[in-house]
Amino acid sequence: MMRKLLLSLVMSVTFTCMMAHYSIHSILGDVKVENISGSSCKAAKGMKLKVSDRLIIPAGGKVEVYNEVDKKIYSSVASGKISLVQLMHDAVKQSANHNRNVANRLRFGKKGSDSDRRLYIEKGMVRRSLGVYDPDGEKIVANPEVIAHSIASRMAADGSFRSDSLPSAVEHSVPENGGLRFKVCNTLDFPLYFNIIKIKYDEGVPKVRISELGLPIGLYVLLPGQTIAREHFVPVSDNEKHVMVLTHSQFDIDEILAEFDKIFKENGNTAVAAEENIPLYILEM
Amino acid sequence: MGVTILAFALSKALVAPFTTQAKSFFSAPERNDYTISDFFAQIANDRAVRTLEDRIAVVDIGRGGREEIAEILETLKFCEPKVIGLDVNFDQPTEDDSRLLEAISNSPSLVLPLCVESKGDDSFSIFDKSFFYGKLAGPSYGVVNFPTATPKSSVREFSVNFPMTDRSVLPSFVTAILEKADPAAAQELRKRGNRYETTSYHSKEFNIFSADDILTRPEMFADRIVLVGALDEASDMHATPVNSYMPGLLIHAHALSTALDREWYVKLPKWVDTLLALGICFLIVLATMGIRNGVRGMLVRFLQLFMVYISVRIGYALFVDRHVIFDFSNTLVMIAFGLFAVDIWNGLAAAVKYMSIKLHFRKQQEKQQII
Repeated sequence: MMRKLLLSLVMSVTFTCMMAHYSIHSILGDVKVENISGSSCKAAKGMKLKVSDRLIIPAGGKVEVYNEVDKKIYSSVASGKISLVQLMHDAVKQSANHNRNVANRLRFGKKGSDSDRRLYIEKGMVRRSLGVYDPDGEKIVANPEVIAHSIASRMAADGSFRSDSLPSAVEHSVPENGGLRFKVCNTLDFPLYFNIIKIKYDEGVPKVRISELGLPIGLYVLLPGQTIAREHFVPVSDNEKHVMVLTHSQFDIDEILAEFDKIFKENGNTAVAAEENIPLYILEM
Repeated sequence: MGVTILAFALSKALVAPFTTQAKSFFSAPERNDYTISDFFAQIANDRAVRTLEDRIAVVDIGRGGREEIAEILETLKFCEPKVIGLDVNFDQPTEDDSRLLEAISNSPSLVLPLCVESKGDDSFSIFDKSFFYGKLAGPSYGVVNFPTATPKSSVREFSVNFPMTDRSVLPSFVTAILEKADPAAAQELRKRGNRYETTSYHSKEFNIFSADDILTRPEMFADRIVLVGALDEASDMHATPVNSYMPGLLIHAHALSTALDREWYVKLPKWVDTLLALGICFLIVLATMGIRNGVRGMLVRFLQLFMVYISVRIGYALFVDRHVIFDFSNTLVMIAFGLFAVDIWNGLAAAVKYMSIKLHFRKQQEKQQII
């Protein structure tokens, strides 16, 4: 078996002298390819390789090379600077070494770490990233300072609040037994991001927190045509306001709360100036 | 030899209340399902050289519906694939299926899935089929059920065919595709006369394409077996010897690759394992009784370890190089319990000796009293 594999490798290498047919199948880590003249570039999946190329594999990195002739994928078994032929030779040798493969599996081989450290890399969830919902807005983040200033600027000394008219259909009301309810329908042709904060006046001092109707982590994301409705049945006390903050890009609600606390510490009850005519909509519910 | 046979029988008796299956040492509790060949497949799968199986192209339809599938079939036709295996069942008609039906009718060498249910008397009846089954000329059908012991067991084998209640025989999805792609391999498969064949999962990889790739890389589908289906459907994930969750489509792909390569696995009969277990038992008894000096205990235990390694090593080489599946669970059990049996044997012998001495002493005392 070993002889056959080595023979096929030698034949492949001989054939390679006439024609390049190696490509990078997969990469793990910052793997580089160095050509015969000494210049190197970052390895990329699908990159064609010449038999004279060398691969620079960082510690913990891995590269797999595909040979079109024998339809085999050769994995690197060590890190460091290694020629393509050496990589394939080592892979064939490792693959054919039954003693080592069995011993490794039975743990007669290299001893594992005794450390009790946990990595916490595995996560029990699925992702629906913004890249899926809103590829255009994925990397756009609203400035929390601007949003916090805008909220603060709407709070008058007499406790009243200046709301905007919203660009999309938003309904809000008080349910029969108290609390709050809202319904937002995205009638626009781009996604909307919103959350709801609660401004509570404690002896005249406003404190901003996330509303019971808001999301403590993340934001509501509403795609074009989608509608969302939510209710909270615990009666709202007189000294609190629930404010919907709606934009066309994502924002960090915790940063907004932190900025708001900072503004209030710096300015007290004095009026705060804020940018106007920006795509930010604030509505008292 | 007498002691060996007694130790062997005693080992079997000792093991019986717990388990007679080595798999219980390794198996996941919810499946109670593990075979030695799984272990070999996992070792082989971790090797540094794998094969990219490019005779089979897999097209992932993702969340695509009937329109998208119809478009895939329409486009694939131009690529001239050898066979298309569409692993999607259309159980109910919708308002407008005309495009899909036309694409299916016009696809040359198309194989569609059927599901069967067991009738308990080693025959099956069709349980789930597309709404146009038997009405459309053109497509062939193959049964996609996997032969497993329990619903969550690993899929280790593929079925060759399914005897139906009406005495007809339906081919499995793999056999139906193979008949069109490689009739000689299909004939060889049937000639072997086995109901099931072991699937080779290790050291293989498949090219997986999206629907868009059909237009941009048509050469990857020409003259190949193209399997079309979803790879992220939670209900179609199954355990295999090398992977806890493998899409059904890839399981079909592995089975097809096994058949195309004519990688027929042979299972050694159980008596070979029993014979070897007896031999191992003999060695342990010989070592325990033969070595008289103080290092006996240590040597025997090293011998046990060495025999475990040798058994696995031989089994692995047979599996990888010769396609022979040797289930040596009895041998492993014997290595673990053989020495225990010898200890019990020695203990019983010592107890009998002690009792006989005591009896003899008491008889002598009685004699003296009489005198």
